[in-house]
Amino acid sequence: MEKYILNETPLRTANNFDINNIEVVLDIPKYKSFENFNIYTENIEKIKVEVNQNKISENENKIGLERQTNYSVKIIIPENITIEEKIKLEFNFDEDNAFLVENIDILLEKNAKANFEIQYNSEESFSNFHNGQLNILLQENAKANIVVSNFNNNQSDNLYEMKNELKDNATLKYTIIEIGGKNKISNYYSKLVGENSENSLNVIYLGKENDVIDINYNMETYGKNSKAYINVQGVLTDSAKKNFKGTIDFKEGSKKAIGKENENCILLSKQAKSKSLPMLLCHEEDVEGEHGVSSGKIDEAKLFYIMTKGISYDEARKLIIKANFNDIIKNINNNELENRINEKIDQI
Amino acid sequence: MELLNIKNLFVNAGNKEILKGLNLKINKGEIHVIMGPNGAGKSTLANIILNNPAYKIISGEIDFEGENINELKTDERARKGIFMSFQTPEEVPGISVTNFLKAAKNAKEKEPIKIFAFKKELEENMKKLNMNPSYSTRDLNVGFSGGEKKKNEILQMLTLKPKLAILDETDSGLDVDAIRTVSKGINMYKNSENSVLIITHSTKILQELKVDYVHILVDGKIVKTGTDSLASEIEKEGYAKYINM
Amino acid sequence: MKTQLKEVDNNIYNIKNKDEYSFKTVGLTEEVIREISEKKNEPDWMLELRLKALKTYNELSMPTWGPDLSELDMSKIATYVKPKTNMKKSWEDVPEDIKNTFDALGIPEAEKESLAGVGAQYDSEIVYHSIKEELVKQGVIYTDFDAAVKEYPELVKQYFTKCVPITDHKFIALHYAVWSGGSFVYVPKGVKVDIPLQSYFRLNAPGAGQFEHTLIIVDEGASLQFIEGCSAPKYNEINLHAGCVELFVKENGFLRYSTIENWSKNMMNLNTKKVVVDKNGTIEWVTGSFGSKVSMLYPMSILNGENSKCEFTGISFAGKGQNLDAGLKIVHNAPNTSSVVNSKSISKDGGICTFRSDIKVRPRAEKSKVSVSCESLMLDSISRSDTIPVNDVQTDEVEFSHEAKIGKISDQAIFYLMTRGISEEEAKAMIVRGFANPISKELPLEYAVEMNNLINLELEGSIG
Repeated sequence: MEKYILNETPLRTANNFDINNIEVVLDIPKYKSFENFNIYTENIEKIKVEVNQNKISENENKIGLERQTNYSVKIIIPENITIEEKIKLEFNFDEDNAFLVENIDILLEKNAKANFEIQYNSEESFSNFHNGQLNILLQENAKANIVVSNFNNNQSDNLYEMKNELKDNATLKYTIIEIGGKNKISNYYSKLVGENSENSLNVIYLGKENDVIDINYNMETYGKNSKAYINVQGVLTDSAKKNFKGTIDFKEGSKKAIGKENENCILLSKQAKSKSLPMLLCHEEDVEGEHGVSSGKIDEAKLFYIMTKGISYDEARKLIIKANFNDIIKNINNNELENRINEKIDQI
Repeated sequence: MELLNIKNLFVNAGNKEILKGLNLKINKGEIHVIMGPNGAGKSTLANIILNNPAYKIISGEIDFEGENINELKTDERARKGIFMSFQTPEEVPGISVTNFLKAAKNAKEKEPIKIFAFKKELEENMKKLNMNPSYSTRDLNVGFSGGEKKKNEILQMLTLKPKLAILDETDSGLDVDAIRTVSKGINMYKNSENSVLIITHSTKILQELKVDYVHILVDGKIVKTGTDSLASEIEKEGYAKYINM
Repeated sequence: MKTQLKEVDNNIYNIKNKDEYSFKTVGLTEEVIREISEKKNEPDWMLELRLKALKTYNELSMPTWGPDLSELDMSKIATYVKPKTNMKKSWEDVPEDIKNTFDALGIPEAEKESLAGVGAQYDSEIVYHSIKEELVKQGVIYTDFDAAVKEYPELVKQYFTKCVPITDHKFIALHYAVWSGGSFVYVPKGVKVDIPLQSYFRLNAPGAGQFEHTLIIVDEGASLQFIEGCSAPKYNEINLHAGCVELFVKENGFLRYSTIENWSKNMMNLNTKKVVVDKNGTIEWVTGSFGSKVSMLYPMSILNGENSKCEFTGISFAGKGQNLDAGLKIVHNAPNTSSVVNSKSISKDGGICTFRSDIKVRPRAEKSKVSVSCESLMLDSISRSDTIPVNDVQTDEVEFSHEAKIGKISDQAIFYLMTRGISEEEAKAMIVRGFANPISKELPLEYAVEMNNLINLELEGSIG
């Protein structure tokens, strides 16, 4: 067990505001290999996939924890290729595979289109450690749809770093389902270098018991007409603690760029703690930026309305939470995933 | 006497061609009406006459009182006596209607305006337009209903007394009473020395006005000019027969 | 857009008097502090407090965030500059050049017309103080802080450092080590002071620091409006302002604290302001920040009593060479408390505006409401505008909303005004003044006019 100070914000604020980074105690297991990886695709001949289990050491990363990888996956979608199906990557933890430090690199060449679903599962009750990295590069006109789901069990530590870069006219839709794990520490960094590039990030988080959620998202607009959207919907119950740090950084020259960011946190218990830092940094005149955050109890008027229709308090609460998540869930367009998320909400 | 003369005007919005060789001449004392299907370029015409930076003249000429005004800035055109009633008037927080009109009037007049007379005229005009007097102290268009915004445009027209008033769909979205108020405002303003260019979809606003010419604008060009009977025809039959000309 | 970089040179604010003083210390050592204390003929407890603060200052480190303060060299700052006059009760007795400065700033005139009392500080000491007789009869105290230490030692001891402790941060420790001047106000129970009191702070000496301490106690059911104005002529050396404002609003009390700050652009403004509000009390902050090279200013409101309220309305305007890091801190520490924040900023000619905040809703602050709105206007692309708000919600039964917007003056709004015959330059200025209007309308008329003049001055020649 050791104390770590991780996930520093792109710009510091006063130390006593206690949000520049997160202090966590982690029990990092000894290096071990990982075997339980599956990739599901019917288009294996159209794309390039490279998998290996080399140990690569790396110190420089946004989360700030030294890494030694035990798995890496590299996927290339060649120029002009469109893959309609969802390419599914699955990492399943079990007692023999309880340590995963992986690198996933996804490259979409010009005009390529693809959908990915990346899942981390650990159903059983044992502690596992995950410190992953997902890097995406979209070349001109490429389009990608990424859904990352964390369904790890509630004793696990999850650290996850996502980086991406978008060239001209590239479009990236990104969804993160942050449900499992005791410590959920994630970092998302997107560089919109291309003109007309667009990145929309949608996130659902769920915190319970003594969960610690520290999410640190940063989008930088460089290209003209680039668009950065961050939409985060969350629920906290028991003594869960969440820090949301979201930054939209308009760099000089990103004329006509648009950046919008919002976070909405429903608190279901007196002991739950919600901290948010929605930063807007602006070094360009001709942009449109806005952010909004809100936290508070579940909407009483809505609760009452639903209960007058004969639905119990608990059920009504769950309905409202599901309704809040609905836009994001519908967009994933995956029944299996939707059911799994609803199941987790029902367990609140 | 010629007031406005538009010669073979080509205008783009961004890279899109909107007006494609438009000609229009308006003499002093006349009321002109422009009708046309959505996207024909009606609002573009109004906006280019006042040099809205969102539009660009590719070729052609706009003359006002015999002088080419192509190179004049928006405010210079306004001070020459051209006015536009906006389809969606901008909301400008922090400036009251009265203070704004005072500033506009002062910009136009050589002599500083007389505050008392100005306020009195403003009050009277507001009364005639059925506007609640409290609107004079409210921020310009901020939180106004659609109808109040349009009345506020007519109020500005009455205060600034332009030579040419362009009304860009001032009647759209208004109920019958409000349209009647707008017509009344136009009649209060109108005399033999000034002119009105009305852009509209419906003939309701025209009923109480003495219209001289009606033009049909289709795909960036005026395809037909007639009198008020043409407006009634359009009301009944639509634009179909002019679209595929 | 063409941008002319024109140095604003306003005669009124830039009056420079000869650097004359009866006594001056430079630097920050134990000897310097003993000397200041001796000159002031202070009680021992105050000297001890100063020395303790110096020790704290030396122990604390510089902030690791916010604007660059490396240009500040404490060994060169004149920590105490005693003007060549004592405190006067009549303007006539104030030396000619000092009087002329305040005359030009309109202070005595304002006193006649619309104020219940005036204090004027010149460098390190208050040179003039007055209060209307009827307020004195009601028991209102308004005096310079040095005098209060001697005349009301019990009151001062009871409240001094109780709102802002010495250890809060490095520059507050500095303040307590070398503080001098400032105002002391006590409004007794139930007394309503309808017209405002005003203290004006003028720093004339080049390379000097101003460290005034203002302490206001609004007792139960009482109410007060207090205005603070600050300015200085421009020098090449760095000047420093590290004042401290401690405010206490008791049960059912009301305080509005307004500031118009126009320090010269060689000023490091590292000021600290804090209020503790009891049950049903209200604090209203109204702030206009135009001056200084670097500002770090985050007025803090501690809502300690049930139903207490905080309203914050502020604007910053950063031009060439200015880095204004401003915002606020609020702690909701009791049930049913509420805060409403409305902050605006304007950046131009490379100026940097940062809105920085920390709003905490403590677990016991059930049924509290927080509503924050920030708007930033960018006038060109060489400037910066950052919004860095921390929202810290520690219980469920709250309504917390925060909104921010960033952008430029809308081209269509400019077009709309120009179609009415208004020039582009004036149209832009009108929109900027309109943007600032929600703040200026909260100020007394002469200050609203002053603020509009400052905006016009800042915009002059820079847009069009």
